[in-house]
Amino acid sequence: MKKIVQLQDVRKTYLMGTNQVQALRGVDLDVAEGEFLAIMGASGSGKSTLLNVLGCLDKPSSGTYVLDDQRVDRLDEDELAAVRRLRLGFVFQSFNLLNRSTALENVELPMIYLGVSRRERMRRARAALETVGLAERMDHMPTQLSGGQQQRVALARALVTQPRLLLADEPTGNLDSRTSAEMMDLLTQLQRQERLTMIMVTHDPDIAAFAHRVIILHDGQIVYNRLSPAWGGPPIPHVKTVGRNGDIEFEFEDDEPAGGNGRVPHELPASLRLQEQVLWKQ
Amino acid sequence: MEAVIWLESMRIAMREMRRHPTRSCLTMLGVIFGVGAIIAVVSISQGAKIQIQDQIASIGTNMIIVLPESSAQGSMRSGAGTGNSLSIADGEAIGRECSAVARAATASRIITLAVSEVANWTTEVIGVTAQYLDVRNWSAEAGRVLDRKDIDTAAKVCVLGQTAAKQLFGRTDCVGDRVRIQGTPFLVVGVLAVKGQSPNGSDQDDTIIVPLSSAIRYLHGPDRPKAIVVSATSKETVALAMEQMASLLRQRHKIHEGQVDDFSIKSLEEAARMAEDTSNVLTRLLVAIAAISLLVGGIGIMNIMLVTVMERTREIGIRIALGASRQMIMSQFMVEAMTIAGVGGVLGILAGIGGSRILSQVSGWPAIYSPSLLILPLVFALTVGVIFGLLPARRASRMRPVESLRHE
Repeated sequence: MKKIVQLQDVRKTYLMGTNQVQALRGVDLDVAEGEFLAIMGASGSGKSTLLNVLGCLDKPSSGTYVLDDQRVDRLDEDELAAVRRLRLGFVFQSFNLLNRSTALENVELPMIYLGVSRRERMRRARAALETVGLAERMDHMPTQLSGGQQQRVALARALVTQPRLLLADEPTGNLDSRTSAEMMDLLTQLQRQERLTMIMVTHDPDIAAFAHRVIILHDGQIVYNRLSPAWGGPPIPHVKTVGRNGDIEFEFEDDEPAGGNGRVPHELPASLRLQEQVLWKQ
Repeated sequence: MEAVIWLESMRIAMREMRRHPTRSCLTMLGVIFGVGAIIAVVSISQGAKIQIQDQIASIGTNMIIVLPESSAQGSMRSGAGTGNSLSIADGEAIGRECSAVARAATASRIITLAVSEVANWTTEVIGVTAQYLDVRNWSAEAGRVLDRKDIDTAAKVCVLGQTAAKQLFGRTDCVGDRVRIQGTPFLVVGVLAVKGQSPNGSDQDDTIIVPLSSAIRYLHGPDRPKAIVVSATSKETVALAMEQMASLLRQRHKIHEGQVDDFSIKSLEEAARMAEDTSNVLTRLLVAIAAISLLVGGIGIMNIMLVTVMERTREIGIRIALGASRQMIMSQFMVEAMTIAGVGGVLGILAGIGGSRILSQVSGWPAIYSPSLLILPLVFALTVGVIFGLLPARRASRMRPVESLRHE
């Protein structure tokens, strides 16, 4: 099973004024091709920083990052831009559509930077919008679309370049619960169809439960790494800090494990079952 | 790939300009004025230059004028052209002996009252030798010009300039009529073609031309100061002709080495060049001012581009996240700056043409547009766009994606 993402001892240190903030403190992570991984954690746990590093928007201070067989942790800005446009797709919490461009133009945008001709861009953008069910709204401005529709435009934009890895930052964070469920159904359906590798950051256990595997970040480290409940893993726990020395404890809810709603799992990448493990870094 | 990005950037730029019409117009105004002013100033000054050259050419072809130096009565000197040092024989000698001279004529000039049967008019009366009108490149519109016989016999005949004819007779078909000058009747044998204004603004057509011999006999006597007008064989031989004339006149007037000449020689080329130099200096000054206005326009572009880049931080973040390299972001904003400058430049060309038309109406100078006059200011405007777009575009391209995506 091919690994799309390999992180080894990735650290990220920020300078906030005169204070050094360690956002990531030695993250090791492998993501297999076709896998759907959810990253959870409280705010400040480093999950956004990790997603930025994974998305080549930010460089790790140390450690190695191999993306799709290419070492990317020491690339310069322009090389990272090339990695982003050739191999990565992004879906953001706040959609991040260009408000003055139509849905179609938004989906065309990443192809402009690939030098695709206008005609070909239109063709592929239309097809992508049809895939996400927005065939009727291609010429609408983002402001004329509902939140769920905007996020679907963003999804079409992320997928139109056929990325090797899709990164989603709280994709349902600005959507109501029904729209969120629809969005997640669409995401998982597309992910399965295209055998897409996908990493999603969320704070919502119900949303994380759609993934194959869930990791939990705490204080810049991975403290939990198991299959999701839907795939036979345990219910997703809350992380609690106990005692003065920062020890942590997992707190499981007794009733109705999150996401364990009796879904029939589709085929899970074989490697994942072997990978399943709990990491106790403390 | 670059072409795709440039095309897209131009579309974006046009859309941004439509979205902020007031802002765009104000931004472009500096460029419009700059380009417009350059075109108006240069086209008018080129028109004026050609008109001045035409006027100088209208006085005569390759013309050289010899004036007597000041006359002196005791210690009182009367100023240039008042002496009587030049004679008809001098003029003839120049025509005969100077190889670079095509024609030479001698002329006197008085201002006096002329009277016809219907009106009177104070005008200049020029007494001339035979080749005068040839030197002036001046022909008759009606009747004939003066011929050698008129000169030799001191005939009481004259030809009239158009203005003099109109003032004296109210019409220009007055061949055969008589004009009385200082009591002597002169038969009008011809009316001259229109000559127009001289470079110093006087009306060349307000004149009566009579044989010099007749003027000496009937109007002013032999001691009236005379000038010699000469046309050189070609434009190139003007300087040579002047040298030949100077040395011939010094010899004829027995002026030794080191003594002051009793005459002065001027060519119209010199006058033309002086007029042109003056107008060139003025043109350069005005163009420099217009260019400064264009530069200020560039600062306006830079200012608005900096605002735009700030406002669109998030958009830039999105574009970078989607894989735009720094070079691509740079290109986008450079193209936007150049589009503003380019559109401003084109509008400036139209404004310049319109402005010069109006100036041309008001001043009476023609406006002349060469292709380079229309293209160079546009190129200059685009260059200004590039220079002043550089800083904002660079700022946009250096944005960090993580921070710009967080920007509200």
